[in-house]
Amino acid sequence: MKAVVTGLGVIAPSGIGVERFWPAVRDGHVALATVRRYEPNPYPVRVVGEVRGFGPDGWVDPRVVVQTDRFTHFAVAATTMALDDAGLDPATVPPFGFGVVTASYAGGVEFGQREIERLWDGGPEHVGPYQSIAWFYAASTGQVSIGNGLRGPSGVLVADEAGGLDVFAVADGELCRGASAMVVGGTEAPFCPFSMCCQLGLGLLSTNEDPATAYLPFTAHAAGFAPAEGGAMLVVEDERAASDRGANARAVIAGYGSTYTGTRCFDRSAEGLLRAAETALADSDLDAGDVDVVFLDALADQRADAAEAEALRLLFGDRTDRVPVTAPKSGYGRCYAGAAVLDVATAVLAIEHGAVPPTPGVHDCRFDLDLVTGTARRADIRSALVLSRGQHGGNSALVLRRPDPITRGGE
Amino acid sequence: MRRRVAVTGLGVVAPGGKGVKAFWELLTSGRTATRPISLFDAEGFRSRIAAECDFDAAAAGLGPAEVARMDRYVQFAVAAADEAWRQAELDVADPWRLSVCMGSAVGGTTRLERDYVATSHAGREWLVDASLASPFLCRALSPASLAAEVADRVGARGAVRTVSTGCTAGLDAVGHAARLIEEGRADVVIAGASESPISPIAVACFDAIRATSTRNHDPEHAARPFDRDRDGFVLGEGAAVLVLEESAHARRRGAVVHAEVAGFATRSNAHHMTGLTAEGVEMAEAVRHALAQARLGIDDVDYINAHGSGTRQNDRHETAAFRRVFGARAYQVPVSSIKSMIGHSLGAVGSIELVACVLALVHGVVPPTANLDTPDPECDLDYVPHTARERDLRAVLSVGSGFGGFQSAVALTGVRRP
Amino acid sequence: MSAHLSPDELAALISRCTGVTVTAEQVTDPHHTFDDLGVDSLGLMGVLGELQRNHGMPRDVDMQPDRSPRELLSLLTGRA
Repeated sequence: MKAVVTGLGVIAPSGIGVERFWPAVRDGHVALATVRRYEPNPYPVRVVGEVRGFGPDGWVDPRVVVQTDRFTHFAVAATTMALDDAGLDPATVPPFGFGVVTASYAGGVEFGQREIERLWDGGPEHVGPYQSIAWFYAASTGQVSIGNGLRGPSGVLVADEAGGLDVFAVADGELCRGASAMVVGGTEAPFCPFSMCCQLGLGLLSTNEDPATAYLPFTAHAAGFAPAEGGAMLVVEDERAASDRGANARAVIAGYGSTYTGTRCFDRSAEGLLRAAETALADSDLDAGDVDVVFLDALADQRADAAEAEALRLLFGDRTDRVPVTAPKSGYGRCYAGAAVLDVATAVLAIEHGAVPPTPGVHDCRFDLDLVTGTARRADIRSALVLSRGQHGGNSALVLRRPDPITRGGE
Repeated sequence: MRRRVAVTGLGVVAPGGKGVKAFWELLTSGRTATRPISLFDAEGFRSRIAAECDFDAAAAGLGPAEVARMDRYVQFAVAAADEAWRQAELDVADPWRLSVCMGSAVGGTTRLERDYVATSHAGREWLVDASLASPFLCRALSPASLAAEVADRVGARGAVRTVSTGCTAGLDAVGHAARLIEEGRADVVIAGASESPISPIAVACFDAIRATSTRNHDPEHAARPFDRDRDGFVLGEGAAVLVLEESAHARRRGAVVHAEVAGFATRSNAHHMTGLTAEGVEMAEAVRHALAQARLGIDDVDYINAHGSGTRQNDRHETAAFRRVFGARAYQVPVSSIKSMIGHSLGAVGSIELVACVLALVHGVVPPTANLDTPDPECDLDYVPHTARERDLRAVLSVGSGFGGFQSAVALTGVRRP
Repeated sequence: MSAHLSPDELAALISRCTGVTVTAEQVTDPHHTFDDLGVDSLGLMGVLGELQRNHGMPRDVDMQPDRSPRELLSLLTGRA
């Protein structure tokens, strides 16, 4: 793989923009709260990670605002942040050399609910012209491409949470085939009543009403996750293209692996995660001994957590309890296809700052893991492993490496 | 050594008959499967016609539990995958080297709408009553369930993905699948796409932008790509699956290879979510890259399967793109649109068209463009009107164009590659 | 339901449907087409739909963005 990360754009419940997001995540801030976007009382899941204080104004062209759902507002705004962070003007990239790949889970579901309501309450002529371009999963990739003049290869994956890592592999493939740069990421806005109604059927969401204890992965109290909105968009560039323009390579996307072990068969995900991680490490020309930190999937389901811990035990063997692992998302929730992208962004920041952020709210990990809790831990991170599982059974792993060359231990 | 991608199995669920054989018979006969909408009462809608599948889930081998769990578009995909898998006779694959890559534009929309109507008391309550939802509603929110169901069917343990690039998803899914093989991430990939969008909300949203045909009095002749009197596309449904296999892997086990997926590229027009430029620059760019990857020159392409949706804008756009890439040869290569017969099944249609292309290569027959009575003067290529044509085909190209500005192209080569 | 719409009301309706801020002067100036104002075909379809649903405009009226809001306005008042 030859992709390097040069820009980050983050919109998360913990903070809008990297400068707010990183301190909140580093300090283990809990940003979960009772949902405000709609009246929560009819539904058993009330604690969520909402992005407060974000309006599309100033970020999204008003003409685009009326024709898009909130998930696209997030994507457009986060892309602007990422391009700015990368110092990359798309006009300077060869015309067909800059593309976009996003992952989506719920698409523009709030927009969709409103238009279906108009159809059934009013009649076919009440459906507006934007339904056809706002609800579908490709809306964000399309708007990001149009808004920034990106005419290169583009894509959209729907693979639940794991899709948030798969997009990096797709983007890397495009860079290997000649693209210079890609905007890569995923955002979600799954908070409207009907979307929540769909998510309830997963049986994986926490019904705990206390934000401090709603999402406690890897503990005896784990009883589901808190869903979240937001996500991240990153600029990744061909290593040489980035270096030619004097850009700062923040991290190298070094390797990727993905497997499938059956819808909601979390018991089997241990082997799936293990194989995905092994493939990603082999792809990176690294081995398990080189991993300095793991960003966990952290479903906060007893069986799923056990399977993830088992995968780590199989991967690291005797070293398992000495590899720092963490799940910052317990502080802001799990934003589906955006979740793993946020973990990738966090991993880049962790590498840069030499700190592993904690797993907020968790104090009593029930597995023999070195789960970082409380406050951030200083660490010299040369390579980070990010894990993600989709509810439909995908297990993906991505390895990020610090840009400086690694000298392999023992060689 | 470059890893090449063979097609060793085909399956299809399309309007006009289930299975590859019936599909090919329909295409080569030039008959059309467009008709009045029967899947719901379309009274009051602007466009009331569609190309529907007469799909019998039980006959396709699906039990009651599967029918309850799977949305209609998932049932189509599973039926198509079963057919393709049987044809490939591939029961020895290493499950961790077996992947799935499926496409869909709107996924579980039909179930989402049905359950929304139930839980909102027909759109009257924003705060829906979750107790009235189907137990399988959660699978409809994200079409990731599509690839997962297909993966369970064949026991895949490799990467399983769903691609959702709107109306190019059917081409892109096969393109992504081929890349998994080229990159060495898989040896076999079940690739394809599925869609069942014929529901009130989908029909209404295309009504709202006047994209669909209103030739309601004459549905069999409503899909008229490249014709002067075309007035939009006719919504369709269906699925197609191709078993893709690393060529050496197929050769070692003595599999019948129908064709190779030789090149794929996608570009965006960065212009408009629904609008197309008059020049077709980005589609031309995608075609050039797909041909370059396939190591094919413009003289090697013997047939172009057009997007040919039958909207005024599209047919001129891609005609311009073909002229741009092929120059004078654009006038010698037959170009046709099977959407004239099976409608436009959004994210599925790209894969259905690729199955048609493989069959065209195998049989040496170019399927026609039905209903092309009077060509639009601005669409001046050889669109193979009405009647299928026998022709020795070495390489074919299939293109697609979709909302969001996506322009994709896939190049396929026959067993006797140029 | 009335087909009467003042320039101010039409300007507000266009702004609401399309996200493009339009003034009463712009909707009465025959030299400004929808294209000039930045209203595309989808936006205009939204405007027409709104007029058809709530302001009595017949459903068969169609218009392309190379026409002006003023033409739309006169269409409305002309039919009143």
